[in-house]
Amino acid sequence: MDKLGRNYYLEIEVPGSQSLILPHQLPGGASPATFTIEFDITRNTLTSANVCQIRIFNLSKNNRNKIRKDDMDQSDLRTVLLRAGYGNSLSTIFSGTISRASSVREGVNFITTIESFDGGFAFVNDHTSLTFLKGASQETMLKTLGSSLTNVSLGAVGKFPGSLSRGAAVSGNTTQLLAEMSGGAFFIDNGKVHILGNDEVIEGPIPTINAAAGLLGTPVIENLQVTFDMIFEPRLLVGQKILLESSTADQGRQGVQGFNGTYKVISVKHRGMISPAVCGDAITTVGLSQWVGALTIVPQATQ
Amino acid sequence: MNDNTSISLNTIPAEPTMSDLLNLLKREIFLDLNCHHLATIQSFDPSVQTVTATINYTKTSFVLNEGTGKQGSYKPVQSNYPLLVDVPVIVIGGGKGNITFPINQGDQCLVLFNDRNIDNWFQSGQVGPVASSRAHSFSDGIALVGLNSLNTSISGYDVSRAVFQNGTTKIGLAEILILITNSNGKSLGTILGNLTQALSSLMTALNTAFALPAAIGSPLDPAWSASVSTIVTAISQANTDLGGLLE
Repeated sequence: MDKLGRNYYLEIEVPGSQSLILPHQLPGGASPATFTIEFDITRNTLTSANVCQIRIFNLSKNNRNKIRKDDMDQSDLRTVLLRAGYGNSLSTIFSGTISRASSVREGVNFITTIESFDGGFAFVNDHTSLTFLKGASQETMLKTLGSSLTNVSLGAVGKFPGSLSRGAAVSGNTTQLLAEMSGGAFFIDNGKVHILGNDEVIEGPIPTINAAAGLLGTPVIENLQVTFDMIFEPRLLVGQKILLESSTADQGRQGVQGFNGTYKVISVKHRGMISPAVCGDAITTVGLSQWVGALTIVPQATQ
Repeated sequence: MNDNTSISLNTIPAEPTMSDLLNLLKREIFLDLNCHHLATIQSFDPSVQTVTATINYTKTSFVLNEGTGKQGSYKPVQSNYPLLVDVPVIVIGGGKGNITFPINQGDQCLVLFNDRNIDNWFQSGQVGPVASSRAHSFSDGIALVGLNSLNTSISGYDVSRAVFQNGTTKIGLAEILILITNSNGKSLGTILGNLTQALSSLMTALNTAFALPAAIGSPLDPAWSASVSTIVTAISQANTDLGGLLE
């Protein structure tokens, strides 16, 4: 895919029946960006919520007022969806719940800042009170909790062997229970809950990352994690498997093996600007986990 | 205050201080931490001495007021805690001895939540690794049966004896004497006292009866008379001993 002509589709739920959509949608696919936006998105496989900050330049006063949200008002639940990419080829890079939205004037620009978190409603509000009888499998329990999350659908659930030798009762915040019962293997990404072991991955649309795919610089390995920057890559999924092919990272010190190979994507950070007027940067920082042994692809649940 | 739905919350939006945050964190930890809960027995499996139990109060959650849609406010909603299953019961014992009780549905109990997972211990009774990392979980309860609310408080609580009671029969241990009573209220001490008294009277009557022929020229066998006297003395001693043991 040529990485030219950055474009986006931003849908913000506002009070009332209709969502605010930028750019204003035209028939026949995505429209060119009409408002400048900046975004900073962190998605990872941790059990905490993924977060996103979007800055929109120079919305009308009416739209600024519609979007506004106090962070103290947890009853005002509105969604935000950001799809981005190149030309008409857009991928969802964030889908979540708005936690705070406000507008300020900076110089000549009115800037609306939207902060949101993925699966926000579920993290804050979902509670579980369930009893599992002796013999219930660990996998069944995790699926039961995962599928009970509000506004979140069940994604991939890996192999979690074992069953209860005694009955079990669980009560509390559902996401905290999932984190505890899965041993920290659960995460919500783009409105889907995945529960994957260290050696389990989901299928992703980007099988290989190399210079041709937009790899920038030399990947760095620290604490068994590999990180690198690449030209904004919206299709990358957290939890997917990739093959890293760096022409420089493979040249380890004498006697030290390089670290090209197959990895699991454990974090994706998108930050950048998409604008009809300003060039700006758009970079994706990718974190990979090193796993000795084969990675198993886990199919996602069919909805 | 009895209205548990009106939990006061400071809803004035303000930037919290570190102290506020730490207090909230402390409260959150307290709310998440299970130490012990009051519960009611729903069933008892005497073969493995486990119960299922329901916790005796409901959980308050704040959920969106559905009546006013997404822009509505949160309202407190009461919901039940999960049913506790396969909960081992504490049976008082030691060595090869134990005291068991007829545990029934409806009995009140205190459920103690162990610090760590008890699954492996429950299966084997051995020292070993825990089956999971859970801590203070609802799944690791241990029931202590015998807790009473005002509704089930024991009437006529005996403050001078240690009492082992089932229904209307009881054994009471005073500091010196033992009281054993049945449903009629008669004590074993009274019954045995009456018995020894009757035996003593019987022996006296027999002795008198057999002594009569001596008065009319047919002397009683001295050996028989001595035996009767010994038995009467023994009965008298037994009566005295029972009086020192039983009320």
